[in-house]
Amino acid sequence: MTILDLASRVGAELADFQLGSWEARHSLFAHYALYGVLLTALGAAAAPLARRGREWVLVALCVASLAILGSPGIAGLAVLYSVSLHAVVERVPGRAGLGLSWLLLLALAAYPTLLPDDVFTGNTSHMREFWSFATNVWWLRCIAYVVDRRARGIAPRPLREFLLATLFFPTFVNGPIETTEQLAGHRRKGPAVDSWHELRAYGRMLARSSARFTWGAAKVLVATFYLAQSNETIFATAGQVVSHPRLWLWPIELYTTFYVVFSGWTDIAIALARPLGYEVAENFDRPWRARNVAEFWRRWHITFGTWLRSYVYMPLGGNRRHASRNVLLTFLASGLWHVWGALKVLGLDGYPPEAWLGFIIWGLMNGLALIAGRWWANVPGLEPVRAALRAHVPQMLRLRAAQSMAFAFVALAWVPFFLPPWIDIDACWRILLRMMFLG
Amino acid sequence: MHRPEPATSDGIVGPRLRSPRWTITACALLLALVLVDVIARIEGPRVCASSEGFLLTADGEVGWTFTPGLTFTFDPCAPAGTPRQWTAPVSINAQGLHDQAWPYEKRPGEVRLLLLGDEVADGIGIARADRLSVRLAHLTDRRRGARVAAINATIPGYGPAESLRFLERRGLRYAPDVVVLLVDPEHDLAALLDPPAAQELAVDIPPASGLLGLSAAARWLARQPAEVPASAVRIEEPDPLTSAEDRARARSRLREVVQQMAQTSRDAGASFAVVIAPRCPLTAATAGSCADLDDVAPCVDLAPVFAELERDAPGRTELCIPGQPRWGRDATFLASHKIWDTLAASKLWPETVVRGHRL
Repeated sequence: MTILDLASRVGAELADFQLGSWEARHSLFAHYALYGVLLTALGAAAAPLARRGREWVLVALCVASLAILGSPGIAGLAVLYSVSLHAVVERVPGRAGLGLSWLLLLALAAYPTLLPDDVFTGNTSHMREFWSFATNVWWLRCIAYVVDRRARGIAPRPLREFLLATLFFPTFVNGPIETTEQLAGHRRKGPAVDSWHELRAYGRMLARSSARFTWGAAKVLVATFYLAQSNETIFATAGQVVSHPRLWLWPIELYTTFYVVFSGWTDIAIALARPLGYEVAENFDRPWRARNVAEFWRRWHITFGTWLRSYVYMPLGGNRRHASRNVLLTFLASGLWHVWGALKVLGLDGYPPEAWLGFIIWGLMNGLALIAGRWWANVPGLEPVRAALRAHVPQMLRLRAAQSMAFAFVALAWVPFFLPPWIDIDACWRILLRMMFLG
Repeated sequence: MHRPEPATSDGIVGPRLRSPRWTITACALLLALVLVDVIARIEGPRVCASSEGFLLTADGEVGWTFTPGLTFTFDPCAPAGTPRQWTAPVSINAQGLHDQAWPYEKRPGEVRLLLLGDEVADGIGIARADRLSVRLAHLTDRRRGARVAAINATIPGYGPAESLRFLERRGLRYAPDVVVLLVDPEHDLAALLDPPAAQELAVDIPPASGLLGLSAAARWLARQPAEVPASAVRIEEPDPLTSAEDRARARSRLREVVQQMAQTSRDAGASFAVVIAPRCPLTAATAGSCADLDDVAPCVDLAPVFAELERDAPGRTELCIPGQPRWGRDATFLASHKIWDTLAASKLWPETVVRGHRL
């Protein structure tokens, strides 16, 4: 390839990127990012108000974001629902209150799935996507509040804090998933500076947030335009149209793409929350360094993993009894949570039960791998093997081997996760067979 | 500027310096104003579908086009409570066509498809990603094959004769490799006997001036696009065909126009296909329209395709934009697959084009 060819190729790619970003300016991501900055600026403008006033302003901005990204009707329903749930949790005592709370939570699970198109008053494509993502996050936050208050005796939070935490616009679309308690715990002074010295510090924080926002947006755009472009072709042809090395690289590409895009969304959420005075939790911690699947889930989508541990795994019994069963049920719940999200976007016609298998298999794969990892680490009968490995294999080599195996497994597990709903699950097995020269 | 604040707010008791907070407020509001204007420029003002005097402009060369440079959000402005109100952003380029401007010169290796026809598939009212041209381009795998640029030159009111005029005078400048003509079997047949005329129209939205000229946000509030045509036009609908004799004459004329268009395309090195593209609301009466044209050019009739979906999922489809002759998302989705596959089956795509698998 000559320099001229390369220059021509780079020019073509840049032109495509320009066109792609031009096309993407009406996407959900672009709207979330643009309106997010606008709402953050308006939230910061409330600096002179006392904390309570600032928080009410933020609640109003959260409702506005629902109206802009969803529809005014949706925003109204969301506020009505949240106020009702808070009232039931705080004011209806005993079993009646608990029952009513769970009834409301079940209604929130069912309603978006059955939501008629008429609720949306515009072009519905991005609104459904937004509504699906947002309700997935919102529901978990509502469950956490009900459980925290009713089962764990955590102190009540005023309505504005509950509304702010459950509808917090920077994290409403794609997380991080923080409970009311967690968000309140992450509150900082934000724009409420009291001296010029603090103002300078606020300015430095703004500069860091802007850099993180830009970095997050660049990650999402570049990954969306350049990575995992062949997914559907590979699924549709069971990998027949690509070479074996390309097919082996593909799960790694899936992993990388998902990480880059998802962490980009998180970067933006964190960058938007900081100027408002909230240090939202990180969602990723270099997941490629995980030595096993259990560690991976402490490094990937951390807030969701924490939520699952706190509100599914521990109530099921945690490590105290039937630990393996609890792990499998927790990952099954995770798979079904993703199914629920897809169902809200595509409806039952576009996402029939047989298509749910992709997420369910992904969940079970992770659960089984986590159980296998525990078995390997804890079964006394394997101690001689473990001891021999410790004695004869250098620690660095063992570490890198464990990281590589965990990475490869997680990458392979993304294959059923990304299975398009219109392609049969058999495609995953056929891809796997082709990877092993058997298909 | 010292004001006390209750000890409960941030745990700080006593007087505070308020100026830094007001500095933040001032900067934040300034940033918000700038952002509002940026967003308003991207979205464009909402303009009611009933406003006619801004969308189309007279063009000495091709009759009429969309108003160049127009950016707005299509709003049906239907009464409150009307279900499924479609709004969607629209951007018209300097050439009077949808979306980004296409340079006349092709990039190396690029394959171009030129889509001609009237408003059934022009994409006003649906999101850009759902437009027929965009869907057709997205169905190709540009990683393994050539990049396909699908140029959406469908313009409201164009019948086959107007599309032929556009192709001869402007369309060929884009150096298309494939030309696709969308033919509505009712409106377009009638338009061949009663050619649509562009009637000058009073511009019902005055040119932006003063603050409106400066601020997109102000234009958004005033529901006024930045660009208004120098001479707005309205296209008179042709009289519907009533007699069998007229229909036969129109079909014969359509055949002539399609023959001429096919020849013009082939002379310019492009392949050519016809798509029978029924307008909304869809009726079953249009099937079989390809029969007259099959020997002239590859032809695909979308009426049975739409009818099948409507039969399988009655009332649950988005084939049409309510109250509009234009297609909705499901129609463009089905049409894109059917057209792509027809072009492939007839070997009209250049060999470098590879089918992708995207929804």
